[in-house]
Amino acid sequence: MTELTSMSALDQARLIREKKISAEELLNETLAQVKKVDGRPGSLEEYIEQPEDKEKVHAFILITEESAREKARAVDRKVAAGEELGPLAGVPYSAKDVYCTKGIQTTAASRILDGYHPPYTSTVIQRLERADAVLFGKANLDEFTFGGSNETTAFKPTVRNPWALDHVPGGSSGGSAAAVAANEGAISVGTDTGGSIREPAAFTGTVGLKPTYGRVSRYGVIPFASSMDSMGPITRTVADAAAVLREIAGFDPNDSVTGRVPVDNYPEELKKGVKGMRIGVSPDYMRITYLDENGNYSSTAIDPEIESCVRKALRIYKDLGAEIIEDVPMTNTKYSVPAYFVITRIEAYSNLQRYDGLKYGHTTKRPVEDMYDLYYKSRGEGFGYQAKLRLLTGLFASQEKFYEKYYLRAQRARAMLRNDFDEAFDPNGKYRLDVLLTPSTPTPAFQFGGVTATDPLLMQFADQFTSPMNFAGTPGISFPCGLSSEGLPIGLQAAGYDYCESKILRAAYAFEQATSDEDWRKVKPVVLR
Amino acid sequence: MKRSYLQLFEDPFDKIPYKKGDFMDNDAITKEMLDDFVHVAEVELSTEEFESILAKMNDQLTVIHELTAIPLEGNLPPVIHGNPFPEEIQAPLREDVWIPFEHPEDIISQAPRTQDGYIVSPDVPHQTLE
Repeated sequence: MTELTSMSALDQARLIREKKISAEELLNETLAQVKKVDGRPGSLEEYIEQPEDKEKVHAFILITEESAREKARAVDRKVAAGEELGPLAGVPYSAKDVYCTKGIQTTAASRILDGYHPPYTSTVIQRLERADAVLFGKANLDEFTFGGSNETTAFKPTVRNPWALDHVPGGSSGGSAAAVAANEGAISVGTDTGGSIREPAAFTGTVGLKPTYGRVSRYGVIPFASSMDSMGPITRTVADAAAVLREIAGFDPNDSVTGRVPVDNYPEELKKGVKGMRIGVSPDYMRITYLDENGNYSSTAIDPEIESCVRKALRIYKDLGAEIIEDVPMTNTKYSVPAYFVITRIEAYSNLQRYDGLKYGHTTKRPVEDMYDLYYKSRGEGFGYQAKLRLLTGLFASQEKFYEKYYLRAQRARAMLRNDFDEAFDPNGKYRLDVLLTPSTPTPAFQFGGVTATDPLLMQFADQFTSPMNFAGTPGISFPCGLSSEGLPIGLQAAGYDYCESKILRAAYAFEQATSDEDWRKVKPVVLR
Repeated sequence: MKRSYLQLFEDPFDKIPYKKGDFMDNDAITKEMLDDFVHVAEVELSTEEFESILAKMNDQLTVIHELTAIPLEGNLPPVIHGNPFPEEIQAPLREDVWIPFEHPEDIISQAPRTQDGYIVSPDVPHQTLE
């Protein structure tokens, strides 16, 4: 029999429902897998790297064994009593440590939240609880989600990529993606503000879904940039992503940007295939565009192996009966980097002002003169370097005198980016796309430190293909499509229009099914070999 | 040791190949300005952090400046959220009813210093508004 921990969440749930295994047995197997591959969890203690640290994944900050066992036993009691079970009954899952969990430490990987035990639980976690899934751990991330490599976490050791332990797992949901890739749970929930679900999914050979803004509630999730924060699953199969989205999506009275839009039956929709679908590809997503030294726009081709993956996928889609639309213009993609930079810094500055050393989390132990001195010292000790840099840059950029010069222009760039999507997906327009197919990232995972990366230019733009969707508020899913010559996973992104998650899931699923027998699918991450 | 990752972390905007052009000089961030920001933002920096952040912020200005290439005229208004959020999918406003939190002690217990159900703060200095 296939190892339980390598199965999909839906297969695990089916075995529990059919009483072939118990939820507690599956939890035990999952915790044993964590013990085998994960090494010591992230911690605020002074970090001295040990040789064995380099051999482990370190996806977690906290394993919640006790509460997980309670939940697994409750599921087993329900099974025994013949009671109705949630769709994910007994499936162990982890959550990026920005999801507030009542009474369970929640850190955002920052010292400023040291010791914080939220008095409430986020909507996503409540809904997964209702689906009878079993939360067993809180995954490491970049501090406050600020980064694309997990290197900014205050909780060391840093997460390593299960496919190449000297490479980054991507970020900011790096712990979540690494855990799922290393069979430490079939599901993790992450967050995506500029690519933080899709980039680590691409880097670890997993499936990462960023839903439409407002499709999944942000309630109880520690924010980065509130106008773009999106919550979604990281899984090993497309069907699992569909099953999780079905549970977590929908209107929430506690989050006023969630839309009263019906939630599709994604697991059923998947099966509809791509026949007749219009799948587009854009030259603006096959190159990185930037301003050169003379202030002119230049562009660099993406990694040729990644480009050939896109081409291969297009051939597969064509064979499956999809209509391929070439040369869809997405010309404002180039503005995403500077506009994203300004808007996210300003929103991050605003969101970071709540941490004061007074109400919760870290407080200074040094003597203080007054309340402001307490803020000053506690925040100085509690925030990491990147958080400080971002909040100060946000403060700078949000000055009234720069409103028109920076902020207004960034908002306008956002409108222009959105316009690209409106035109490409307009059902009466020239292109009438159902799905836009893009690379998830311009390169595969890079090595720690970045300085040794072969092409640092591409690395800097790791989120140029993912942040436009956060700007536009539209959904995107990254799914594995092969391995590079170095043996690193490559991800493709199916991007869609507002609330059209079903279509991008269908595209990802069709590719997954059509390539299920390919050799690269048999290759496992190094930690599983 | 707590900031040991400084050596590891490469800010992705560090190496963008823009020339630090003179076009930016009028916006350059000075030590005095950063010192002000640090106090407005209430965040203490070590000497090394101050120097490093000052340099990084000035570097990043070149990225931000790229925005000035974006035309402001035309009929495309700036947007706060990407996807539209029409009234028909919005929830109606809630009744303005006070609903007490079930376990306020769980909130208070998170504060480092409390007394009789209140959070204890150091003195709040008197300030005269201008």
